[in-house]
Amino acid sequence: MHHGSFTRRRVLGAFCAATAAAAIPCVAAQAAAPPLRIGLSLGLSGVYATDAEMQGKAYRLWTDQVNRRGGILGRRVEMIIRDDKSDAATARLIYEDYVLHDGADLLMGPYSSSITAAVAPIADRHGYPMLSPGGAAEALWKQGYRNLFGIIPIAGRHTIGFLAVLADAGVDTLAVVQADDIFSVDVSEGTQTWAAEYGVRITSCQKIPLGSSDLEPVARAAQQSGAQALLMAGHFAESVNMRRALQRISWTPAAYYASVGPGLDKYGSILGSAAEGTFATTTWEPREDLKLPGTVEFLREFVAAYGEKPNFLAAHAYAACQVLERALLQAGRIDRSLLRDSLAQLDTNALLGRYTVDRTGLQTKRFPLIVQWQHGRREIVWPEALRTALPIVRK
Amino acid sequence: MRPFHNRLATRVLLPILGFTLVFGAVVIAAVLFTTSHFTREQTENNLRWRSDAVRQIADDHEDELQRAGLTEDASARRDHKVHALISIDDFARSNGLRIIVVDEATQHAREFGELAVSLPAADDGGLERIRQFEADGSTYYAYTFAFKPWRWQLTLIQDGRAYETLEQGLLRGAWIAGGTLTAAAALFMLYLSAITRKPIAAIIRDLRAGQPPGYEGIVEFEFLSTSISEMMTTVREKTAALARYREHLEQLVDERTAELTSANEAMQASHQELLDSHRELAETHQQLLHAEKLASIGQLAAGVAHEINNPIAFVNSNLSTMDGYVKGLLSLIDTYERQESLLRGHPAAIQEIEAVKQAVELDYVKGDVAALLSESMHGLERVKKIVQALKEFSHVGDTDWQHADVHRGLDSTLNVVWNELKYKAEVRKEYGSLPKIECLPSELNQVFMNLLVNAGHAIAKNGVITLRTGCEENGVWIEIADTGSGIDSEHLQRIFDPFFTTKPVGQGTGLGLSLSYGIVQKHHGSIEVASDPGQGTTFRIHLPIEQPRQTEPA
Repeated sequence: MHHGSFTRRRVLGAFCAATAAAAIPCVAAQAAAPPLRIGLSLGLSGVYATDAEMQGKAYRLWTDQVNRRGGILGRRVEMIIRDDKSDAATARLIYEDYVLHDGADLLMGPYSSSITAAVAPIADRHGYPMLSPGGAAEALWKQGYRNLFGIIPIAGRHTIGFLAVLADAGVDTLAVVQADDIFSVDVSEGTQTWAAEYGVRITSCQKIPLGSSDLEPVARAAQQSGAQALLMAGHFAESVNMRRALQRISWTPAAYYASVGPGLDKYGSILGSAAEGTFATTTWEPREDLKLPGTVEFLREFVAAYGEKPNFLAAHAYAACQVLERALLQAGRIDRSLLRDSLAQLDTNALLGRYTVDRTGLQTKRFPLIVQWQHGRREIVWPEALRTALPIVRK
Repeated sequence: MRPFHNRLATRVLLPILGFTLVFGAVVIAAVLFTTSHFTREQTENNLRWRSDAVRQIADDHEDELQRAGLTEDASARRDHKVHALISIDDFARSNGLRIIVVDEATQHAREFGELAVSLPAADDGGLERIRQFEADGSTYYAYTFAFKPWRWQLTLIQDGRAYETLEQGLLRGAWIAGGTLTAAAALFMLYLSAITRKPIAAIIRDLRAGQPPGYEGIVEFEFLSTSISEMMTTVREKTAALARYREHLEQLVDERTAELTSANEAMQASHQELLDSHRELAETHQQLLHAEKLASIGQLAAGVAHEINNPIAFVNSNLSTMDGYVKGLLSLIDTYERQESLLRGHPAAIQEIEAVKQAVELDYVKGDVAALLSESMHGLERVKKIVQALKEFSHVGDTDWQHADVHRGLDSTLNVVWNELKYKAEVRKEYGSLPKIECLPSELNQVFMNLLVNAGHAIAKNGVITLRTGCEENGVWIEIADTGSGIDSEHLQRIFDPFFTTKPVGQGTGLGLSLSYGIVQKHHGSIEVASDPGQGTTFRIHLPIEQPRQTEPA
């Protein structure tokens, strides 16, 4: 027995030693291997600064998390985020630097459809597969790129739920104002396309320069077109400016919808009670009761890291990182060509829901949410299955 | 430098390359045809399959409504339709289609997909069948079906691009395969050619040097080399044997040729003898005919001479008598004239006598009558000579050999032909002293007559014919020369041939000299001729004095 006990101890000791010996090279290999550099740009300053800020936080969160897990395929992840100043030309320079001067092993898309459109040719030309957590304009996937993969539901369908809400409420006229960037144009055109299905008539469609501050004239024109409801296709600034313009002209439409802006908490904090009733499209909401995979973990870790809740833009960035990680693991090694094929074939559930793309790389299986500011917070009013509150439409 | 097409490598390479190219072309054509057919078929199948998928999208939503009991819920129905349209939009985009959804109730049409094409105006919108149309240089296929629960009419439009890549890939693959095959065939054959060239060159080099090839190496070529070597040895042995056989054969041929030549010569000699015999026979026949003719003429002439001889004799006698009578009468007349003076008293008588004298031209008659008689006597003498000559020429009855005077024969013959010669030629005789020779006189006379007549014919006018004779050893010679036109040298060798003549038709038979030649030969003599055209011709006859005696057979 003694002998047997001694033997067991020796065997156990040897096993532990072997395990430790096996672990040491792994750690040494990870330490020795060069980091996996993922390059991207964000509009940390400029018109998209508000939108892009949350995305940057999400990237850093994921980077910390993945490196705590040992990195990807034995390589530590290094996320390189450079400020493109919300400017397409600057973004182009940054991405050219990444691909031409070996500045990054992989790329991640920038924020906004316009800037994504500016850098996508560079990534595609040099064979860098690139997820697009900041671009949803359908036009991006009409260029024949092989290396651009969508994360967000396409902009042309963002307002379908809002149209359904209008129709259910008996509102059948809608005025549209659009900023002159490709995302906003897609939102506007999608609205006009699908409005007919819901019996909603578009009474006017006006275009404004991106970042316009005085929207009173267009708001007045929309009101005068006889529309019951108003849709502002733009970004954060346009959504706030239009809300204020409506106040100034004293027009309270039956429903006011703005893209991007009302999806951010900042919209409520800036506008206060004026934010009430505003409809918007988001793809994710920082609610633990949201029935999307990983929502709770992401929400808690984000709050823990930054002391604030993430928004849907942060969720876009985080989901893109999840997809990238799974695609790399599926590829089995760090190879851009294999990664491209992996992203094209991957079918997985991430923070935003199901990820799968069509042959052009366009995200088609994900559906957006329609939220409405009610009582100082955003409530999901569409689709019905995820609804947290009934939509409020004034007639 | 041998022509390129006669090279072994070319002969081997070209057919294979040609076959490969033709085969490649056929394969490419087959690939094109098959791909085109496959593309069309697959496109149509795909379109049907995609139409079914689109129908299924709508069906799924309708089923969902049914299961949820929301078929009468307008809002739910609307949402499902929108979601179906979204799915159809995704499907159109993902599949590169153009999908047109028409609501039959409102005729509201929605178009989805990135394919930038519309149905042609002429499209009849027929349901459940594939239509093909062209737009912007491309071919498109359309399929329309109705989804009755929602009163939708859905049209799917698809292009052939899905298979263009396949088609291009297959074509590229066929070209690459064809090119690779051709290159491989060329390389393989070049390699084959390279490895076969060396042994073949070695074998050819030995063969050109005339020695059996001794290649060693590749088994097949070594076997070929050895076989050729053995074959050459065998051929050389057989050639040597053939050479020996040929020499033997040539020897046999020479011998047989000599025998045949000898036999041929003998035969030719016999043939010549036969010809000679035939000629002699013909000549003899002619001579016999002529002799017979001469004999007849001679008999006739002898007969005529005999009959004329008697009248001549009594005319001659009468003329001699009449000459005496005339001389007497003339003497009487002379006597009467001398006595006329006696009639002076009788004038009438004188007158009458004078009238008679004048009437009969007595003076002339007296002077001429003697001359007449003399000429008559002289003419009669000539007649007698001619008759005598005829008799001597013909020698009727002289058919046996006899000793005769050649000069007499010449003279008598000359008399016979004198009439032919007297107006154009002067005949000169330069006779020598000859003994009588043993001969057939009438036949010799015939020879003389032929030569004299020919001499007369050769002289146009005022010529000279010279007859010469002389003795020689055991013989005599007779020469008859003329100063006529002579004989051309080309004719000189043939003048003794039977029937050869240069005289006009009707004047000569061509037998005269031939017969004369025969007669002279018959007399064991010879005849020579010498002629100088324009100066004359001389015939010389040599005759023995005595004919050789033939030995009687034992």
